[in-house]
Amino acid sequence: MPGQDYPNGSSEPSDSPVTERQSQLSRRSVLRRAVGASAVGLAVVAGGGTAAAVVSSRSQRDSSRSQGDPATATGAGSTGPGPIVIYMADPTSGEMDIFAGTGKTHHRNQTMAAMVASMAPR
Amino acid sequence: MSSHREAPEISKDPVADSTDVYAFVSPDRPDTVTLIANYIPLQGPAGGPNFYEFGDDVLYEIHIDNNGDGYADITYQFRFQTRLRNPNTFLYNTGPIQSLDSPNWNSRQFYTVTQVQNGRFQVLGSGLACPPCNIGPLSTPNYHQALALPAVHNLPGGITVFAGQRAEGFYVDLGAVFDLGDLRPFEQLHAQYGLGVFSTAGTGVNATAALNVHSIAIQVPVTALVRSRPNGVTDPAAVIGVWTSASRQVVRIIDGNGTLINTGPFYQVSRLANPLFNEVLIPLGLKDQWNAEPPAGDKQFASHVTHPELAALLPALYPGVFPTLNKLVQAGTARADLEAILLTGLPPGIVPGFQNFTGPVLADMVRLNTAIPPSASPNPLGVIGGDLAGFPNGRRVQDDVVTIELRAIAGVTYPLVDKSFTPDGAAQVVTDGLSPASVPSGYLATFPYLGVPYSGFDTPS
Repeated sequence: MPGQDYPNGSSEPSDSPVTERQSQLSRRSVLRRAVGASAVGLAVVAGGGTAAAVVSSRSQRDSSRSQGDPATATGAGSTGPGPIVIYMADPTSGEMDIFAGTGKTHHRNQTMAAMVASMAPR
Repeated sequence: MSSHREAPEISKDPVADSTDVYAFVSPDRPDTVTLIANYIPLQGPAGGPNFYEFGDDVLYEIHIDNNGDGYADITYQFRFQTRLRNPNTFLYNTGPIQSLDSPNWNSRQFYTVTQVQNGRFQVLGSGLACPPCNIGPLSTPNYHQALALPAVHNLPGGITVFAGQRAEGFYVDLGAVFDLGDLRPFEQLHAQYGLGVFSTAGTGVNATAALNVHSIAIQVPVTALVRSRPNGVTDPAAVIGVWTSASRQVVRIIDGNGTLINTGPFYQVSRLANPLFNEVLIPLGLKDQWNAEPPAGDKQFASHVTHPELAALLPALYPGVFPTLNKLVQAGTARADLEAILLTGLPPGIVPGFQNFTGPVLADMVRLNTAIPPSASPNPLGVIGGDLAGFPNGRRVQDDVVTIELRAIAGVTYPLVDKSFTPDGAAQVVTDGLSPASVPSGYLATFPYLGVPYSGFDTPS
């Protein structure tokens, strides 16, 4: 299989297809998580606002680079002017996905998760 | 339909809903292959003031697998951008649109084409203009010459591209098919649930006869698509697999002031290769999942191909008409013919002078043997009609895929894998009663081959 082959999902021109592929969840898993989120999940949006670009190529590259160790809270780097979305399917686990541009990073941080959960509407 | 609104989730997202894929050796440029992916189904031509457009937030892709593993070796990506000249009017156009740069055209779309190969992204063209929708004789006069033809763009590498509205070229009697399969030419033979509605045969009605779609069409030299220059029809290198996909970013935020914010990676929400695959073969509970998967994962869906629900329905709906098919179904026989046609291609030695085999990986792809030249007199029944240049060797715009697949499922192709099998007489004539002549727009002899879209003025309903 040559390097072009995409086992899952799609890439944009400004992304490395390899890092993109490694980072992607299947849509099914996202949908499953979304279903779970209706019960226990939390999504947090920061920044962006009305002027947010739909796609920021700079943030795509930066967020792709920060992907890797799924258990480590790596620095997200510059994400450009667009919004940052934090998604926690289960806040008690401390697991979270952070979306910016066309990138995604996965982190585990129970302290942060608990903090965000405490701020969530009830 | 072929794949119009075929799955629960994508039926709610028309701009990302793929409806048909075509792949054929170009009849007027046989050194090239034409690939067409249609989106945005069932467009009523008068659908203003916000006429149909591609999604600026959708990643459209046409994929080519040239080594049979069910993954893309070459991908053409299409991204669209809508530009408003004047946001302070509700009008799509403020006067006649007589050229692609007309100041009267308020809401225009442009696009970028990127080729992805060997991990490299190469922008082939950007700022490429789409034509407007066909509104009527005052708004879009001289549509074909003044607006559609100038929207055919030549790109480096001998590539030609077009993206915009076209007349729907796929024909099907939807009203009959979805009324519990009462195919009009045979409706008097339908069990009719004891209602006794039909006593004589009827004539097929093309439900898409007055509707438009949006097409992404790209014509590429054969040598740019195959893994190596093929040495004749039997050379495995002659065969390519083609499919389309649409993807959306994983997160969408509704900002409360009319703004939608999209962020995160693109995930596939729509996929299409062989017509009717997801629509007819995949059960409702799996359709959304199927749309999210690459062809390489289609082994998990193979049982729905080898034991198609429709094969069991035909003998039940038409008692006594398909006795041999009924025996095949009742015996639980796996339909190796359908698996070959739809998931692997036909190996050499099955149909004389033909093969479109890509190997053992089960993957739904439109498989095209690029070494088979275009037919001088195409038969819309393709390979089962003796025309090796038609479906399922690729798919041409005029191919009667509904009849071909009906007959295949009814058993007409089972002798390919069991020469002792004699199909029912009905299997060889079953049809929804339509033909390319059922498409009022007709087809074009040149790229992009699909007909001029119906105008809203002339086709108001």
